[in-house]
Amino acid sequence: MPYQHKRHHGKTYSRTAARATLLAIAIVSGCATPQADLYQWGRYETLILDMYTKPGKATPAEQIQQLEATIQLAENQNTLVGPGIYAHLGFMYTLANKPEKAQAASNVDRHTGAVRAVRL
Amino acid sequence: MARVKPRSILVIPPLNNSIEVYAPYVFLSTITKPLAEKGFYVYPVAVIDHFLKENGLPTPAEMNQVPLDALRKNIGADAVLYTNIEQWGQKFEIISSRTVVSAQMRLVDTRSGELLWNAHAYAQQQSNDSGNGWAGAIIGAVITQILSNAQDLTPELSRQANEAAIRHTQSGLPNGPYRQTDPFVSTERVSAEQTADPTQ
Repeated sequence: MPYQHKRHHGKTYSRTAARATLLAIAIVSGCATPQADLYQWGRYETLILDMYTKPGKATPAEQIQQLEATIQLAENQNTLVGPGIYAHLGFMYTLANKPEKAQAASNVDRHTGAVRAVRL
Repeated sequence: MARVKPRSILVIPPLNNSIEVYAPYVFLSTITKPLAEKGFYVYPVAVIDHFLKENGLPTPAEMNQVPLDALRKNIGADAVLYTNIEQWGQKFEIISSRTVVSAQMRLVDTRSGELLWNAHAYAQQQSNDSGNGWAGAIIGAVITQILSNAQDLTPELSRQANEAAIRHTQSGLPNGPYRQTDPFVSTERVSAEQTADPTQ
């Protein structure tokens, strides 16, 4: 299961501290509560920009390397990558002629999307 | 938005009414994050663009003609975001130049066709002279235009415009199912759902 997300472990203290900090910022600035990011994005959107606007840049091999790095970072930090990133990685593996890896990555995205739809 | 709560959003590549050929794709590269961080599943924009092209729809103009029920049946999206790009890129003026991005967005329910939300994403950056009279002003404009040509400002402006339109306190997109009022509650719920993964 190379692309399985890991579960979050309890980080009660840091979460509480972070929440208090956000609340303090909200009170001081007097605006709506700032929203912490839900996901790791890495260079996903920059890669999309480059693949369309800079022909020859953001090759499948380069994108695979960058996206795998973002996924690794998210796993190390017990966070999630943004929705669609696994499917985009699968697309890049298809372009790189690696159908098995493409299928594996695409399945993770479809699977997490489906589980979310059922569970939430 | 009160009656229908979409979970997933399909972004159709925008219709382009500007002369900038790349405008729809610059827009596409800045729309996923703000929508997803609002709590929606966002289909991978480049994969969808590729899928539509593979299915005989080579340009955004044709992609925007696909009936909603076809998008729902073949892709499964709860809602579709349609975008109309109005202005995009650099405007050259006498003593300055400015870069503009301007796009109208409509989020439509794929079951009912109902309009769920709409917004105007707009951002501009004006490059002014240093205020040393006309000669200085003109030189300033020339220099700024040369510099601006070297670096396209539209990706950053597009990102700002979409963030502002989607996250606006009053007219922004309401939170989706993966974003609760308290961001930390939402994170907990997403992680809890991961632990319920039946394949683990």
